[in-house]
Amino acid sequence: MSVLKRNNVTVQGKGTTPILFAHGFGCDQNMWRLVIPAFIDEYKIVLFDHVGAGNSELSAYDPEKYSLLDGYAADILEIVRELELRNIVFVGHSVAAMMGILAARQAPDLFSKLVLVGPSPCYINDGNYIGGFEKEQIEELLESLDTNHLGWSMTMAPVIMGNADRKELGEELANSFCRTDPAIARQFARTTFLSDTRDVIASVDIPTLILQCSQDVIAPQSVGEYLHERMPQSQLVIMKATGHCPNLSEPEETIAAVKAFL
Amino acid sequence: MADIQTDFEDFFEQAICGYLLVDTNGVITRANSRIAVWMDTPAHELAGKRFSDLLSIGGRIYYETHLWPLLRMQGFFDEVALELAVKNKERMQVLANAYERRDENGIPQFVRVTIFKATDRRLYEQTLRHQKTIAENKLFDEQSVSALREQFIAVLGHDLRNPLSSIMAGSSMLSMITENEQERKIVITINHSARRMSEMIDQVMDFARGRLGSGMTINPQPTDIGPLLLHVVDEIRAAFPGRTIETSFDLMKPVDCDAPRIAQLVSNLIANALTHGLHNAPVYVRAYQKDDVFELSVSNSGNPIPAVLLEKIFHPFTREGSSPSQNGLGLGLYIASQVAIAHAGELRVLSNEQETRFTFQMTAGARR
Repeated sequence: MSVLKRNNVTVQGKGTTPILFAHGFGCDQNMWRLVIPAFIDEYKIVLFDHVGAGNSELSAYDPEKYSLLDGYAADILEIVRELELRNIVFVGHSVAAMMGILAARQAPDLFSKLVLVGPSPCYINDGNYIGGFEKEQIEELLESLDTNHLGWSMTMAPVIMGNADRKELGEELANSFCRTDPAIARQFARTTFLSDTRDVIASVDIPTLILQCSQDVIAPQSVGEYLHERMPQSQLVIMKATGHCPNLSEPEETIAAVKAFL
Repeated sequence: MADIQTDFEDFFEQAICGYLLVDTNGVITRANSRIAVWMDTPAHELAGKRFSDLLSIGGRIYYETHLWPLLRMQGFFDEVALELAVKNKERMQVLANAYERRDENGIPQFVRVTIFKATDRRLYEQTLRHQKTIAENKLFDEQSVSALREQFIAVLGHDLRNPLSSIMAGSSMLSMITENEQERKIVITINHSARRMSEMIDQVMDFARGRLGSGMTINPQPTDIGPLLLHVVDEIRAAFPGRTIETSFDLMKPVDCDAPRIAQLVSNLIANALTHGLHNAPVYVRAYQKDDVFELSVSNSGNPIPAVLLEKIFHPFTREGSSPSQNGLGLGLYIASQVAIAHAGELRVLSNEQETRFTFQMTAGARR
C-alpha cells in the first residue's frame, strides 16, 4: 500500500521549503485548517492523518506497531522519504510533537526546525516531574475508555454522522471531522498517555519552538518549562490561548508565533 | 403563577436539565441551579471554572482533545456521553449537547451547553454491552466446540475408510475363490454391509464438511448428463439385483453442473425410492432438458409419506420410524437437497396414494 494513501497525505502551497503538520490525539489533519492559509504562499505544506485517524487506511492499523510512538515516528519518516523532503519544518500538535522528536532523532539531517504545540514528554507525575496527571487518573481514563464509559467513539459516530437537521454544513465536511474507530482510539489513548520520551528530548539538537498554552489541562506549563530547560536549542513561548488546541482557538496568535520563529 | 410560567429566568434556573453558558475559551460564565445541585457547588462558584473541570478525568481529556475541536469546527456536538465529577469522587452519568452561538460574521460568541441526567440510560447501555460480551463469548465457545466436533467426525470418517477398504477387497476376493456356496453367501453379505458402511461414512463426511464451510461448494462443468445417469443406474441395479429401475431420458444438450454431485443426488434419490417403495414395483427415473431447464425425477409406488415426515424430509437425520440399519443415517435426502441448493436449483417432493416423486430442477445453462 502506498504510504501517501495509507496516511492520507496531501501536499499544497507555492513554496519549496516543506512544512509538515502532524495532528495529535483526538482529531485529524483538519486541526490545521485555520493555520495553513497563512503559510500557503511561501511554503510547501504537507498534511497527513495518522493511521487509524481521519481518512487514513484503517486496514493498515497494526496494534503492535502503534503501541509505541516509534511506530508513528516511523510513518513520519516514510512520508518524508516518499516525498523526498529536505530541510523540513516539522509542526506537531500534542502527542505528535513527541513523534516529531523521535523522527528527528533518527534523521536529524532532514529536519531544520521543530515547532511543538502543547507538547508533553510524559503525562504522568513522577517524583519531581509534574506531568499533570497522577497515575491513577490516567488509569481511570484508560479504564473509562475500555468500558466505554465515555461517548468516545461509540457515540462519536452518530454525533458526526447524524446531521440530518443540519444539512447546511455539507455532508462531507461534517462527516470528516475527527472520525475515529473506537477500538483504535482506545489504543491510541493508551499509546499517548502511557508514553514517556523524557530520556530522548535532550539528544535532539535542532532549533525548536515550544508553544505552551495557558490553562492547558493536558500539558501544563511546568511541562513546557521542563522541555525548554532540557532542549538545548529551544525557545519557549507562553501563549494567551487557553486549552489544548491553540491552532483552533487562537489561530492568529499561533501563526504569529510560528512565523516569528521561522 | 402565570408570571412564573412566562418567566424565562425561572425557566433557565429551574429547568430539568443543566444549562451552562461557556465563553469561547471554554470558561463557564453562568450555570443554572440544576447543575449547581448536581455538582453540589453554588452556581456562582461554577462560574469561572473551565467546563472540562466539571468532568471526570476521562471526560476532561475527551473534551479537550475531541469535543472542543469538533465544536469549533462543526459548531455543535450532540448526545455525547460524559461523566460529571461530583464531589466525593462520585461520578454522575450525563448526556451533553452543545451549540456555538456565532455572530452574523460567523465569529463565535459563546457556547450553550445542555446537560441531561442519564444515569439509568447509561446503566441500561452498560448492561446491554455486558450481555453482548457474554453472548459473544458463549457463541465463540460454542463455535469452537462445534468446529472440534466436526473435525472429529471428518478425521474419524477418513480413518475408517482404510480398514473398510480392506474388508471390501478381502470379501470380494473370498467370494470369488470359495467353493462353498454358503460361505460365498456370507462373504457377499459382508461385502454389501461394508459397502453400505462406506456410503454412510461418505454421507457423514459430506455433512460435517457442509457445516464446516458455508454450505457446499461445487465445480460446474458442461456435462453430458445422459451417460452419467445411466452409469449411476447401472451401479444401483448391480447392488439391488431383484429390483426394476426404468429410465426415460430426453437429453439433447450438455448441462452445466458438478457431475459427481449430480451423480450423488440421483444415487441418493434412487436408493431412497428402492428402500421405501413397493418391492415388486419399478422405480422410474426420468430426465429431460428443454429450453434452459433441466429436470430430473425419481418416483416409486407405495404408501404415501406421512404429512409430519414430509415437512422435514430434507432435514438431516430424518428417517422413518423403522430401524436405522434399514434406512441409513437419514442424510441421503438432506445431501441431495444441498446439492440442489448448491446448483441454484430446487428439489421438491410430492407423495400420494399413486406415487411418491422427487423432482429436481435447475437452469441447464451457465448458472446464475
